Amino acid sequence: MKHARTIATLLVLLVLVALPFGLGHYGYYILATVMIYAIVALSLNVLIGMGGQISIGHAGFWALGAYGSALVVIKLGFPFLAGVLVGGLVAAIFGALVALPALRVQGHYLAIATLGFALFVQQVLFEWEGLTGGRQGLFVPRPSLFGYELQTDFSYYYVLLAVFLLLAWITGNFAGSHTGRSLMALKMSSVAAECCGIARPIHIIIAFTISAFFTGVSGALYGHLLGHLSTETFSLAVSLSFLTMAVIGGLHSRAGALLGGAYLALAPELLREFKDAQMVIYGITLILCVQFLPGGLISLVERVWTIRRPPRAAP
Amino acid sequence: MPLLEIANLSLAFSGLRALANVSFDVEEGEIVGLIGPNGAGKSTLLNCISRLYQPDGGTIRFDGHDLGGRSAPEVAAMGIRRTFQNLELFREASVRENVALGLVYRYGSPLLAEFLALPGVRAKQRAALEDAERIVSECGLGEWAEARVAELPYGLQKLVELARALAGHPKLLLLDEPAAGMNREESTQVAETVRRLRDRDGITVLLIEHDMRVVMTVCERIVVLDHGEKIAEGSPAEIRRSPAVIKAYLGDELEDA
Ligand SMILES: Nc1ncnc2c1ncn2[C@@H]1O[C@H](COP(=O)(O)OP(=O)(O)OP(=O)(O)O)[C@@H](O)[C@H]1O
Ligand SMILES: [Mg+2]
Repeated sequence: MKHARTIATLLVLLVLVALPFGLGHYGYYILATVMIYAIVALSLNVLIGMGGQISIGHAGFWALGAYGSALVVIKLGFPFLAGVLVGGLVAAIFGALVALPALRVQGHYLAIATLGFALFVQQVLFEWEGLTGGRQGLFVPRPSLFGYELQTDFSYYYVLLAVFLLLAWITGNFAGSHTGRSLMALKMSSVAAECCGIARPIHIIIAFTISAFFTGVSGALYGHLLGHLSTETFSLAVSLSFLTMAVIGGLHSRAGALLGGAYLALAPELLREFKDAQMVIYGITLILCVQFLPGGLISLVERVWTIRRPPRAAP
Repeated sequence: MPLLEIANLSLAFSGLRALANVSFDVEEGEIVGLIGPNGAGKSTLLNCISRLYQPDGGTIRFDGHDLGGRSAPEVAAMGIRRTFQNLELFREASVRENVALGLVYRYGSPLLAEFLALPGVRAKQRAALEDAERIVSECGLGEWAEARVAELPYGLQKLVELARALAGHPKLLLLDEPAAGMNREESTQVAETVRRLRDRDGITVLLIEHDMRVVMTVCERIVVLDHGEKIAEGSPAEIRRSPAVIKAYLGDELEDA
């Protein structure tokens, strides 16, 4: 059983490493976005899957990461990776702040609060012309490592893959840690968890902070991929598509986050002919997924996988 | 000094008086029963002690400390653990995980170390797991350690709740109807377990129960609530004879005992 998991993980890694070969520049770009979206999906795994919280404001954290990194790289001459870290940290600080309403409200109200946050961030970035270039936007330098500019998205893809794997590893560690399990306990029964000595506020703040950090890192990486930032990139539609991909990929699995990222990167390519009807198709896919596949695409994969193994003895 | 001192405790829910000036003490090492008709305020009192409810008036002192202003996790960490009348379990988790969650807060590590799963963190996780494992098997749940709690029969679920409470090494254990829904044999077992916890581990117990056979055999002192008021307090023999108690409550209940 444990063996099978390791083999599956290695296979996936092999595929991920081999994927860009034979593709062109556009293919590299698409693969790069898969990784960037997959990192956001990981962040929603932590927030929604483990923490039971909701956010339709993740475009706000994404924007903070993107602008935070771009600005320290452009204005302060930070190296690329340091910029990405700063982007993540800026988003994390706001994540901790957004957690505060989550301590009081849940469900729809929290959804609206996070939505308001994202709109606020977008508006402020747009208005603050001196810093963000307002309507003109901001030109962001290519990513570079140890003084070498990564000229193509081929090499950048591997950097993104490495970041995704690092964050996926951290997510796994967190899920098995006492703090992560306490967070999941609060989701299952906050009354029981609190009577076990587990304090709710700090855990909710941690969940939002980690989630915002991951999404900020992703936004920072995205800015350097695009080469140009404008506030339109961080609209409400983006927050909604993040939520959709995370649900469709699977909220309780790192491989699911990867599938979610692939879905969000590829679906627009495959559905291009449908033009404006795309949104309808996304909506229907999401509803079907919630109805018939609550574990996301990854649960389908797992189901096929388990058919081939003998079922576990019932208790 | 009593382990638990409850003085003039009052709580009303939008006009409905659930607790009215209730006062009593629980001495260290005692087993005290809390009885009374449905809706008398017994569970409400337990919820006030574990800080799920904030009383409107009165004080609760535990181990000499005023519990006013403390949160539920804080009093849990002080050594007050409980079970629930209508089961509050981590239903999707295994029996082992339920018990482990009862004690993980005592094995905290810095968050950054947890992210990186540093060796110190792993050592603490192992220690917590061993601790949980020991309690699981002591409670006779070893066979079901891997089972998802939601799939277990009711009686075992109640046992998991007790095991989880014990995982916190409580000084004071609050049990809300531990024998509800059990047959004679099972409820006898519950009574024996409560006795053993006190005799062997020195745990003080405050116990709500409708099963008079359990209450009368296991409790050394009994407090009777009716409509949120304490109407009697005394030894099982005294409570049996109390006219007020017989009128309010025991008239029906003693017949089943
Ligand atoms: N959260 C709440 N909100 C409103 N009313 C409540 C709440 N909790 C308890 N009550 C009311 O307070 C009164 C006391 O309830 P409580 O649950 O303490 O009774 P009990 O003695 O435990 O009864 P039982 O033997 O049926 O469990 C009841 O009238 C109940 O409806
Ligand atoms: Mg009750």
